[in-house]
Amino acid sequence: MGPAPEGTFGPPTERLAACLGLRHFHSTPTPGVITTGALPTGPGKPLARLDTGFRTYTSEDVGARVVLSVAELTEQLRFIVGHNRFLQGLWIRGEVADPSAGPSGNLYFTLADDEARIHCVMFARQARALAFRLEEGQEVVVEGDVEVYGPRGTYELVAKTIEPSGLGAQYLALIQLRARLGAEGIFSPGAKRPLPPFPTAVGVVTSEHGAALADVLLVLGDRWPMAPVIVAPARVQGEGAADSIVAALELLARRGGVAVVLLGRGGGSGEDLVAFNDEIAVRAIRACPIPVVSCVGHEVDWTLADLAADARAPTPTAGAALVVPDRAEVSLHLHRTAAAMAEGMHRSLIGAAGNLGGQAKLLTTAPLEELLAHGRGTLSTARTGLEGGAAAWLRMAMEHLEAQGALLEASGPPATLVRGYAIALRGADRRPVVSISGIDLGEELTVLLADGEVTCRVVGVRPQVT
Amino acid sequence: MPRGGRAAPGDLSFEEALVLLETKVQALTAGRLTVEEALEAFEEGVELYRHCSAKLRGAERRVAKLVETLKGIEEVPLDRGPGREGSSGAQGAVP
Repeated sequence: MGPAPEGTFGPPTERLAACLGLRHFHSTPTPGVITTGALPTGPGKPLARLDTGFRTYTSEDVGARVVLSVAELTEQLRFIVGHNRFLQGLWIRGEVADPSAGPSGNLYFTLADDEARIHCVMFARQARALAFRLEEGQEVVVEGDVEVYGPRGTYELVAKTIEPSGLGAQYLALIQLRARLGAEGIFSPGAKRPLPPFPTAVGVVTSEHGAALADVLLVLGDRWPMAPVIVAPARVQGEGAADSIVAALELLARRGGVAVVLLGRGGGSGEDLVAFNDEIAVRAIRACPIPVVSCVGHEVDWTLADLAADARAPTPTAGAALVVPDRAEVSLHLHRTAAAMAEGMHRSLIGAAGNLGGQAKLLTTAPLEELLAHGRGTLSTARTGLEGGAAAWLRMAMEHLEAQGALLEASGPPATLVRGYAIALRGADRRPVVSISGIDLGEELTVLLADGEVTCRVVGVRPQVT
Repeated sequence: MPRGGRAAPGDLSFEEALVLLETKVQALTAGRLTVEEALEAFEEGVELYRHCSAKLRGAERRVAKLVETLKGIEEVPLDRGPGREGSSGAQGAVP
């Protein structure tokens, strides 16, 4: 056989090499022995090389027995497997055996059928994104590459995606729809609307005869019976369910006056979530002018309805609790607010009473009595309407007011003046003088006494020596 | 007695009344009001409190079903038959 130029193959070998997808392939007439036939050697090319793709032979190897180390053999296998398009990017169906998670988060399992098994690994990055839990005996379809694992002399499948078998095509379609709608911004957090804290009316879209409606009505009635419940019945599974959900949402929107919509169904075995993953239903949720809360009871991680809704709850019961406040809690808050109000009023009265002595406008008792009368009236009406802590504060405020009234009658300005005190006023507006600061020498002050007033001129100012 | 010049709480929703009540309480507890202003704020606050309190107490369960007919949208009582307790009791059409 004459020398074969590098990169060309004999007819059968060439077909095999092309079939295996190998980049370079060189035939050697006697396996394991390099012959000149395979090398472009000659007098002018003493150092010609033969590159087999996994080992380079030189002309010195001619006629020698080729002995590979285990690592070299493994390297050759890795090369052949790694460059073979029939062993890369495969979809393999099988049953899961011995699934376990490594400390690094890698997922290990065996894929088996009646006749063979292959060890599989899914690296942590992909394993974290896996939408379901891998379980013993589960039928799955795995996408991955075959790899030779040298340290253990085995081959294994490096899994990129795992899908429950049977659901495969459907699941793939769902993932694709999610990606498409996601790109449109339908699931964007920025598109989510806040829920009203105290909804005036609650819309419910679910089956009229399902347990979900009974649960929702029970919770709504228990927590916040003030909000009327408007039920727009819809089919939640089977033929026409998605259309029915769209129509119900539109009906509620047209009726108006509904502050929030609960959309859902109960969970349980044999659940059919197709309607909640249907494109038209998902779009209708986003297009609904009223905030929508999804409450689809299910085992899987998500439905597209959950992702598109303004908020999601795991069950209809939880959804109902999410859309309305709890009457008991709100009641408590209301009573606390009333108590704070009564306390504020109480403090205002105490403050006012403290200032009474210094206020020139209270020199005559008439406005004070009016104020007191008004205060008593307000407080006593209020007291009958308030409960608990608020009423107690009010009682204290009233007692305080009464006490201040009595005190004022006894020691109000007129009585004080009779006892020998005087009040100094300055300026045309007769402001009471409470400090020496700002008093000018020669300034005129008016001094009030019990039976009249005296006009005086300032002849000296001395700070108090303490 | 409510004085003239302010919204009657009767027209307010629960949420509006509660928010208004909270602003009155804030004004009162900030302590910057005169006694007259404080009394007025307090009086209004009590009205609002009663309004909210009445709304919380006087709730009557109303459940209606939307039905689309040739005449448009109608609301009819929800027929759930003898079912779970509390879900078929005090129900009636929303006026």
